[in-house]
Amino acid sequence: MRIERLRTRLILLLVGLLALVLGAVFVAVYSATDSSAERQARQQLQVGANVFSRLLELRAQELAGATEVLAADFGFREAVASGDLPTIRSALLNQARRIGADEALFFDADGNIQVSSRMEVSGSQVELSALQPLSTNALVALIDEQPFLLVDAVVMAPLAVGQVAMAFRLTQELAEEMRSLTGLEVSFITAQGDEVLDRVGTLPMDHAIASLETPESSIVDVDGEVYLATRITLLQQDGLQVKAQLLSPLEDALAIFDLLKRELLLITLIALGVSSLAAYVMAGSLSRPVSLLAEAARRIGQGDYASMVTLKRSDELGRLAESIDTMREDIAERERQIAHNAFHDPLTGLGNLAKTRERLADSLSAGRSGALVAFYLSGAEDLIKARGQTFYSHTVVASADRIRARVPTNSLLAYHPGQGFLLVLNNMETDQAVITTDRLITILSERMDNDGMKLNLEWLAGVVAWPHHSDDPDELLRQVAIAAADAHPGPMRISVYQAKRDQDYMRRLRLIRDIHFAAQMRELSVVYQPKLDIASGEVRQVEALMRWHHSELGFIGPDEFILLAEQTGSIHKLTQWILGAIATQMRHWADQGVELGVAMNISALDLDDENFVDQVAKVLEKHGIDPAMLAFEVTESALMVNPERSLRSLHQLREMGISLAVDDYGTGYSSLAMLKSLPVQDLKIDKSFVLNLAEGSEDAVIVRSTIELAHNMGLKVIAEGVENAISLEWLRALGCDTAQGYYISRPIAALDLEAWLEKNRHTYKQTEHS
Amino acid sequence: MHFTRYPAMLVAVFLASTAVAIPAATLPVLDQQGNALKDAVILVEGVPQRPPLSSSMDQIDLQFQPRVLVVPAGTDVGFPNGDNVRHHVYSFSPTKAFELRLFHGSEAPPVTFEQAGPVVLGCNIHDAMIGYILVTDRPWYGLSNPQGILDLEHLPPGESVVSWWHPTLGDAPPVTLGSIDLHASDSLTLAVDGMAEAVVEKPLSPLQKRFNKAAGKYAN
Repeated sequence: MRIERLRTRLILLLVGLLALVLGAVFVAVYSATDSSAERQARQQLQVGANVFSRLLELRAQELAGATEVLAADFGFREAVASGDLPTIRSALLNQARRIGADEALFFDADGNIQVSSRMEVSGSQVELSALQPLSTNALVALIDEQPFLLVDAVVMAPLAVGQVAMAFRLTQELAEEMRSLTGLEVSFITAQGDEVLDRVGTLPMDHAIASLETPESSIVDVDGEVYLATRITLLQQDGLQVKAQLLSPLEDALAIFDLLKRELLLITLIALGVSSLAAYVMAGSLSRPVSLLAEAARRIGQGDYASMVTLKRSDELGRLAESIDTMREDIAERERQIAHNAFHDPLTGLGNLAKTRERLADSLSAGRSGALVAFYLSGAEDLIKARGQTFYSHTVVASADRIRARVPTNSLLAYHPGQGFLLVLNNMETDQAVITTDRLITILSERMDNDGMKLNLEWLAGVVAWPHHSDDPDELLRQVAIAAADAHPGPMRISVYQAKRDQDYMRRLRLIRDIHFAAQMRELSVVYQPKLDIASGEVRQVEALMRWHHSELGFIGPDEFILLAEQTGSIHKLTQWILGAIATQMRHWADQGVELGVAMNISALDLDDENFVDQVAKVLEKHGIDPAMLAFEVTESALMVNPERSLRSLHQLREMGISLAVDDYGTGYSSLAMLKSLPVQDLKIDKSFVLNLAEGSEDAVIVRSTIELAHNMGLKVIAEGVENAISLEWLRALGCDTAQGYYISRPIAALDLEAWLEKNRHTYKQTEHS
Repeated sequence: MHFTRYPAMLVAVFLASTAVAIPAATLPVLDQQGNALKDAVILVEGVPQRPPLSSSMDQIDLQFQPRVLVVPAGTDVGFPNGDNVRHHVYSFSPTKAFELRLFHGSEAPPVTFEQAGPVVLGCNIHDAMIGYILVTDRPWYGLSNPQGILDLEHLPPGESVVSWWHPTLGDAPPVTLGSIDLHASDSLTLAVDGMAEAVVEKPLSPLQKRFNKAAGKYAN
């Protein structure tokens, strides 16, 4: 459409310009001929007017001559001199007839009309109402309101004795004659003021009136004919006037140019036609290749790179076509590259994740079975850290080269950066896949010489089978990653995906995610387990324990979520939360008059936190809690993570007055001697030693010696996991300071604890008495 | 009368000899504009008959010579032809109408002018030839010369009835001025438009004169 418009526009432009130029020429010539015609007409009129005047004069002269002859005739003179009127009369009439005068007059020496031809004929008087010289020879006279050309001659005998005058009417015949000589339309108009008395002429009489008021020279329109008009005043006297009106028809003058104009018009039209044709052809020769190129560009845009773009022209358009063709080839090449890149890994040249997904989808939709294997390099991160990314990349490429040709036919080997190799094995059962994987891992794990360095690489693999495990490519990729993560160096270097493992994995992921929001969702709570002072039988302290009741997964064991919290860094949040909850509770108890210390567990990460001590101090201060009423229990292993930092924190806490206990004693490797250097007051024997206390058992020996040694070092001993009376009695016998366990009480809510304390105030004192 | 004039002439001669040569007995004739007027005819009554002047009207160089001729009534005027062309002299004047064909070398018979009055002469061949003969019955007559000087010879002093004629009067008779002593006059002024005669070659036609007058009237 645009091309069509370009072509149209070109044609319009070219033809328009030509039309403009030709039109201007036409108009110029036309107006030139027009004005020339008018000028000619004007000239003709001027010449005609001169001729007319001259003719009138000549006519008058001629008539005057004839009249002179009469006046000079001796006999006539004699008659006049002798007053012989009959002779005068006859001679006058004779001469008038001879020269064709309409009126003949004889005046006496005083100027009175003595004889007139009319008088002779009709007997009526002649009225000479106006008279004016026209030339030296002639006069114009109005006789009976009719215009006459009048010539006179004086009769000399030898002095003037009379006058002879011959009058000729200004008739239509005269006008016709004048017209034939001058080529002009001639009218004689006699008027008194505005009233036309008489008019004769070559044109129909009703037209002459229009011209009376016209100026000396003007254009008048008579009955549709255009004339150039001029008037010659022949007589103007006492309001009487006689005018000769001369009209030159413009049509005639214009007619001369009509042929020229017609030819000019023809030439203009032919020129315009030929030019238009030329413009059409030219515009076509310009727009057709443009149209072709546009079509070619459109095809390229649609992805058709096959057809060549050629234009057999050597001009700019030809070059444009070449450029477009070059562009076509370049785009095709680039698109091939892009398509390749979209499905290939640039490092190894193998297929990529997308290619793998595509292959899986193809295979699944074809209803085939198969297995997906993920290989990954154990310790890849360490390798990158140690040797750099480039070295690692070389390793990967070398590994890829090793197995590239060794994978089964009809399988796809791909590389997923950051993960490892992916192998799609079509039409293969799990067993067979594992065998193939094992073969390939063996190849991969062969000693490698990379950059002058001998490497013993440990490759691990996960295997998942379809449609057994899933029929969704993305699900398969996820499952194979889990399977690979389960693989371990050694016999377990190939791991086949197991649904159970996947569920655990999913649950863990969920907990990791939700643990951040547990406090916010009010899913956390605190329970308290009484600690019995064995000697007095009183409960002076309770251990605060955190509980997480997940809204969907239900109760989550502290062992599970505390570990996750420590792994994900959420432990700080939890510690802060429980610290606040405990402080609030302690404040409440203190207000109630309940004197009860609270012990809580803190993580090694808490001790590692520089702000932890300050935060604890702030909370205590906020709630007005005596630090001595608070005790922290720290696991043995926690102290081993960052001993210096932990020790500093412990000292600071201790200085505040907070009691400290070593938790889970006996599970780690710490020695009592090392504990001695810690600012702790209590030692909490792990429940695994306490649960099965029996006389003579190995645990009993450990517990007994521990209690003794602890006491020797000035530490008090807490035993947890007391589940029966025997254990309690046994501990009492060993001199253990504090007991904690289900036998005494399960961990319970604060309100329940208050009720429990009330109820068991004397329960354990009885033992002492008994 | 003759005697009485001599002393005067003597005086005049004396005066002329003693002072300046004052021509005795001449009188300037003037027109209305005060210019010298030639061809003026002065007639005086009641004086002795003067000796006749020339009575010949010649034609020389296609002109009447003299232009004006004064003759007493009854004079035979000869018309010799001084030119070598023909002339056809005519007069339609009431005083004397005649026609005379003059050929070179041939003597035509003289024409007798019995009646007093002006006679206008024309030539039928040469329209431009106009001559005048004033036939008079007065005893004294004179004609002013081309310088407008009238010779008073033979005119006795004293008042007499004086008349005048001039070609401008045409066929009209002489005009009486009244009783005048021409000798006592310094000059004689006549009601003649001498300039008009001199200038007008071809007179306006009566018709034109009439309408010119009319136009003039309307112009006023």
